[in-house]
Amino acid sequence: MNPRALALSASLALGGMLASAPAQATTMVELSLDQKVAAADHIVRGTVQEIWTERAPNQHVWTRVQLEVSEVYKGEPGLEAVVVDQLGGDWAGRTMLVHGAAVFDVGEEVVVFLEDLESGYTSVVGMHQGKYTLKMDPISREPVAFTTPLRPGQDFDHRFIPLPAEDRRVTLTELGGEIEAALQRGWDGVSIPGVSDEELRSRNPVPAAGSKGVK
Amino acid sequence: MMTALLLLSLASPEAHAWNHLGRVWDRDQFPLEWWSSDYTEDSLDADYQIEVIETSWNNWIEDAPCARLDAEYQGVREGWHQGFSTDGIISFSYDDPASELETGVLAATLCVSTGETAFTLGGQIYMYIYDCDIVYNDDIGWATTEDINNGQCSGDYSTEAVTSHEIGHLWGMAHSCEQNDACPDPDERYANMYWSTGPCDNYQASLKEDDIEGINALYGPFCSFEASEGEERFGGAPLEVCFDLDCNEAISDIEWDFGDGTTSNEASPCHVFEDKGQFNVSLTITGEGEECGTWEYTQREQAYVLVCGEPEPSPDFGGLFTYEPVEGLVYQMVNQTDTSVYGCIDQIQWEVYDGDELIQTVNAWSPKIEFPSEGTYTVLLNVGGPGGVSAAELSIEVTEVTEGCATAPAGAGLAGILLALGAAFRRRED
Repeated sequence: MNPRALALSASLALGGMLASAPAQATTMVELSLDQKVAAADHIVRGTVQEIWTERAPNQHVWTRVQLEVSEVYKGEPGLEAVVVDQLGGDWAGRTMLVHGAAVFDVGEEVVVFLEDLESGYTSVVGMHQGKYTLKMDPISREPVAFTTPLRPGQDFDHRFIPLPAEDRRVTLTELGGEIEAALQRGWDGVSIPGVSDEELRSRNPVPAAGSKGVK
Repeated sequence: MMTALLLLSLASPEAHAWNHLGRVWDRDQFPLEWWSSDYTEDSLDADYQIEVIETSWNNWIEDAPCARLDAEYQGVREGWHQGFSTDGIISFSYDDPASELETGVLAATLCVSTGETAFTLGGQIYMYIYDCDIVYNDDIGWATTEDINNGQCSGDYSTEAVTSHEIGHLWGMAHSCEQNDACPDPDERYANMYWSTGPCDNYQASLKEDDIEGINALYGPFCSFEASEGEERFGGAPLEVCFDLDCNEAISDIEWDFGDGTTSNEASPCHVFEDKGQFNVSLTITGEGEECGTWEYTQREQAYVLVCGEPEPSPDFGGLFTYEPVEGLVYQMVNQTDTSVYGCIDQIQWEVYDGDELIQTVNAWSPKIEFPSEGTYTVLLNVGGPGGVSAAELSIEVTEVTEGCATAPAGAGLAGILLALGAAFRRRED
């Protein structure tokens, strides 16, 4: 027997790693990448450090996700950390259901499109549509970025989710390039469902002549 | 069993049928009493705002008579601020009073469960709902059904379609298909519970067969099935699964489809799944009831049975992993294990040895490993799942890589690939 070929115990593999997966019930509009870029206050790449829940004064439960930021595509350039909020979650024995929400997992690396809501929370644009999981593609050796909408009751461990089909894989480099291109183009002035034009103007200021643009 | 925690349909290529939220109302609470709030939508006539909600309730009540749903309007609740509290009152609020909905979200249904288990269906625990509130986004252009039918809609969203969809969630329905699903079946693509809608579309206002089957499974005559006590429905091939049936009405006929091309007419059959894969099991029953006469009901469980082999490399690769130098003494491990079936891999551990001494363990998928100094190390990868555990190890000659020169030193990159191609899989030997 090779002593190194140790059996894995379930506790080391999954213990504490499965994030709670609240389900949200919503009707959504499918957003294009340009719409997500325009609707975002911040677009960042980061790694999930911690997940917890809180209850707001109106008794709604929010799941809060601490991200350590490694790259900023849009928003404050020096941002090092951000807390991402999602409506729903378990709090003090009560579960508030929210289906369609982005679900996070500690240790997961992500690119997220975030918007600052009037309520003070920073949430994901278009719910699960604004969160991309990054996972290394063994073929290209690059991180692949993909969205992962979940079904109710479906637990999420970012390490074991399948990669998209090979012909549908978008690398982080490609996604970053598309985000940069959309930032360069700027908001096209067409309304986006769920956010006011006034808010879009404030999130996408027209660069002054001679300035270097949004980033 | 840990595997059971990983429900499985992320990679399923099949079309998806109805889904549930795992929440259900106690029928004793019917008729559900609902209120409108004094948060209203300026662009819609005040009476229409109530009327469209009533119409949307009736879309479910009338289109799914076997489910025997019922709801009743109570009036306007005034004086609520900063959104609704979960006080056991079903409420509808336009204008997103607490500013909680994101861009792209038309409306949301926020439900709280009691924590009391109602029943178990397909391995999922269903809990009783205590309260639901429906909130509409304030930055949406809303259209009436009449405007849409008369071609008077321009870029606005159907209030009736969105409200009907949200009421579906309130009953306990989840989306028929999610964003990344292939969803080729028009009955599911155009179901009320499809995940998304477009401007001026009213097709989601009415229920489709998929919605009706789903709501009947919650409230109508139905049978549920599950693997018999002591039987595993996740495991290595071949896997025998026996099924138990539980019906709330008398049935006259029954047909099982095990998802692998075989069927059975037995009440509680046992079936051997010979091949690896995820299998959708469905059960079609017919019967007669007082309220809906002769009925037929199909219960489908997606990816109910998972048959796995031992973890193995993805088809393009010969080894479970390889590696490449990054910078300094940091090396990138590249995991090549096949994860195409979600649930067949649910355990992972990397171990780094300096001689016989274990110096580091990591549970990430493709981690970067920093070695303490130059030298020869052994890296061992263990991956496991319902089909067993596989392991592979590589000997890595670590040399410091200077910044800007992250090419593979001799014995690392290319050699690493070659080593990985020849890496032996070993089962645990204890």
